[in-house]
Amino acid sequence: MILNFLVLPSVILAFIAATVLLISWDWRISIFSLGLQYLCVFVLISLSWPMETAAVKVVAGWMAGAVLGLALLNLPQENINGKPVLISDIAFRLLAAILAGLFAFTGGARLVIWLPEIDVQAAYGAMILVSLGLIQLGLTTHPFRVVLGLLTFLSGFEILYAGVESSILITGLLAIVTLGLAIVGAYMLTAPTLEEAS
Amino acid sequence: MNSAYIWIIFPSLVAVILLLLRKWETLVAILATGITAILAGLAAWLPLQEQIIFWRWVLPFSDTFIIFGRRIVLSAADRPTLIVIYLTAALWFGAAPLARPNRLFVPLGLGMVTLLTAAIAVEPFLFAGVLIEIAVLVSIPFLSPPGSRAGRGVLRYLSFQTIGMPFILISGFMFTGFEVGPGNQEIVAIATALLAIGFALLLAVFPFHTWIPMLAEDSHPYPTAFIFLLLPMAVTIFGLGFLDSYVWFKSNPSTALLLQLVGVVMVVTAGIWAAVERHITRLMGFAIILDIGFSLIAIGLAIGGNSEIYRVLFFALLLPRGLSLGVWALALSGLGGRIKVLDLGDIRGLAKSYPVISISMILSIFCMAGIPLLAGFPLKLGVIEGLSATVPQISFWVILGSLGLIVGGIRMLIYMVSDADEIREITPETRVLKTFLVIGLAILFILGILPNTFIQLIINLPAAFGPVVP
Repeated sequence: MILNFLVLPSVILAFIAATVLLISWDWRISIFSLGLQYLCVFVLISLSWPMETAAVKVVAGWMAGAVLGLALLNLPQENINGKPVLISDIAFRLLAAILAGLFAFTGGARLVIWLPEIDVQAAYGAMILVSLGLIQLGLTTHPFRVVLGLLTFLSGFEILYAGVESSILITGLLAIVTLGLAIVGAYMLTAPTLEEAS
Repeated sequence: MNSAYIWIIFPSLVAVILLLLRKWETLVAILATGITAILAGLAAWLPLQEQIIFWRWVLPFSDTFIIFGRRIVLSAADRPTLIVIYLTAALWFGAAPLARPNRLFVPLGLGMVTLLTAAIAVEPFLFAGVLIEIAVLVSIPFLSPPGSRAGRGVLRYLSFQTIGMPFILISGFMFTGFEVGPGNQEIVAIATALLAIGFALLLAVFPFHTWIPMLAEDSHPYPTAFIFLLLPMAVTIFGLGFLDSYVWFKSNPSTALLLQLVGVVMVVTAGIWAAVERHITRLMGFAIILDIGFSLIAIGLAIGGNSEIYRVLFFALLLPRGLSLGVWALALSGLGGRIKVLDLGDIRGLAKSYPVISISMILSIFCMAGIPLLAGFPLKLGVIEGLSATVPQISFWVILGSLGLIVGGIRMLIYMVSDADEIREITPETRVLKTFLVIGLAILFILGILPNTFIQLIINLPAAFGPVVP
């Protein structure tokens, strides 16, 4: 694989991007981190798939980011940044991210015993994204943050699943799910400002 | 001609057209009702042969549609399921103009129906997890309509269903490794645990049940009840397909016991919460959890012993559930705008102001709890009897769970018949709404009084299309 030398940096970058998603309250930084995260997903998936197929993931992920970004761009700013940033909040989230990283390090090694088709570094990356996505989901009720958490969780799962399944249909369906989540997220963000339908 | 064209692709196109026509709500509802009723009729009467003769033309007909090397199969064995799904959709869309849900409900609801049909038909069946997830995504706009903020229930529903999908996919892959028989016991245990978590998330099994009452509280009762009916129905039918594919897994006594135990836990927990619940739409949520629990017990009994009887019972349970939920949701929708908060304290004197709505709600609760003379009774009695014969120690708890829902219904009744603190401005129930509710209640009674006729119909339905039970 051409991108072999990028695998370990991608795992580290995926951890940093997912942590930034967890602690950042600025939607622009969050969208940028999401894009970066999908780039790491692309590198880790290309361990199992040809690069042109793995590119579907990064394209779908970036399109999802663009859909969310466009929705947020058209919203009044007070509707987006709900909470002020507290130091204690950031510290807690950072600690949670570090614990998730440690869990991913031990869990990833165990995972390759159960699913030997998966590369160990891909397993680390996947576990990082899955656990940080779940933490994100547990700490928020804001539609934008919930969708970010779900996209992070799903991208982790997609790394794992790429190791065991390479069907074109499932690749397409999972890309639809990624885009669908972003569209639903954009809809939920803009729905309060839309005209009542009935 | 292909069965997928008729029951998946054609209704999907219709859903898109109806979405464009959504401004004309009544027309959209009439079209959707007509088309889904015709599709249910076609599932019942379209001959099962390789050619269809239409006037002068002879059209080749196949039950398999191939897409990217994967198959979508709607064979003779799927015909009863198609009838149930499309008939349910027809009934639901038919009453939609009365319930006045969001304009997106009918077109997106039809889209959801086609996706769930595809989920039941796709092979390998583990791809169904992704199609169910897409169906969930399609349902969000009608649960959280334009002009309103997405509630916590909607977000939790979306989260739990999305998290559930990967568990199904990964466990499905692990299971394909031991199709003939179990291999490494540790891997089998992990695959089973992942599968159990996936289905628990999709079917709102305790402790992942919270999205159901929250969604019931947040969203319009009519589309919510549609989700409560259709989604668990599709997931349980998909689960049955999963079990049928792995005979060694199905024939393991622990699998049947696990399903029965999970079902009992759902019935008991839902019963306890229903007994103390004060919000009447949340009560509907607990009632559906209880009913899903009964379905799981029926599946557990079907794979544990007398397969055919309990499989029929599982399918039969869907009819009273659909009817009760339909009547309940329509009655709750009828209250929309008349009462702002649906807490027990706010429904004092309701029986005097809105007698038909009140009776409909109470009888729907009692039907789902399994009170005699109503449609749910003979089927729930059958499940409890089956459980008593196999695991008598836990059958008592199922009765306790049902009693909990009855207590919830009686509490509601007491508040409804008590005098209101203040005089409420009454907008009378419309005649059409009353007619629909009375017809629904009459069917609930007829099915309860003449259970044999109804069960015989359910038994004959699969036989009419060939062997369903493998």
